[in-house]
Amino acid sequence: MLTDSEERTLSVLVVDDSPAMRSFIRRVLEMSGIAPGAIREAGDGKQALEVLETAPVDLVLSDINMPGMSGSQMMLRIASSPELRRIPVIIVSTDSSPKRVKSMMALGVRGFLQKPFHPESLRSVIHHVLVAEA
Amino acid sequence: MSTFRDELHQLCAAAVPDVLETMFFVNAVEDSAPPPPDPLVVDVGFRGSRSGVFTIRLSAGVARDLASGFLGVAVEQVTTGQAIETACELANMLCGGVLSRSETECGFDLEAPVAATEPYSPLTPVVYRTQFLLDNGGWLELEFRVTGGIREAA
Repeated sequence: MLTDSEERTLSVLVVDDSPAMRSFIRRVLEMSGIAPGAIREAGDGKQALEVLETAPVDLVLSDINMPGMSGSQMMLRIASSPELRRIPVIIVSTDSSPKRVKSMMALGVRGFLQKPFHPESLRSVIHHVLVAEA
Repeated sequence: MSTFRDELHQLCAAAVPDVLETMFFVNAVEDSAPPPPDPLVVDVGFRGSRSGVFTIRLSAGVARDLASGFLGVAVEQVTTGQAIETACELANMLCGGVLSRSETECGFDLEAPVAATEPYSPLTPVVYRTQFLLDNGGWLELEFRVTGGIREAA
């Protein structure tokens, strides 16, 4: 079981083409006490991979539909890398159809959160995924 | 027999208050209202079992109010850019909120929201248009235009 202090030291990468959504998620994480000061942002999958190759990241929160490299394309790259695929990825998307969830889980996604979401739901899915990883 | 328009009416009635209350902390009720002058307009292209364009219209003041709640910034500190970005994300979530209730099996794809320059597009017939009044006194209009091209989303 993760302790509160372990959650507080997390380094989280937020991947979304919407600056507003990235700010919203950042605010939820900070208000939840998760990863204060250790939140990185990327506007698409390509930027996210660049961050993952250069900085320590414990958890990725990613949208799917993004111009440039999509969340699905990013997951293909992560799944093919022995180094990167150990990092848990949670999808935060408006599309949670069974087909979409199944295809993303097949790529190694650890959790799924549908927009809109209550702030507590984000913390809950993060906690659930990290406990499963521990 | 239920039509696509009837379906959209039911889907919007469920999705719009859900999105606004959950992530923007604003209550909304479906109602008619005169359109605001010079509205901010955002288009989102969608592809699923049906393809088309979803559009929202709202006043600049409403966009600022929504951005304030969404970003946790005092309304007087919200920049024009933040108001537009938030309106784009609102359009994305509203369109996704409706389609996720409709495209329950095969999913859908959304294009990046775009702030439009023309308040009303003459290009494609409107399938469904509705308006919501917000409890902050604001007004929001939504519309769906279907361009056809039925295909299965990736």
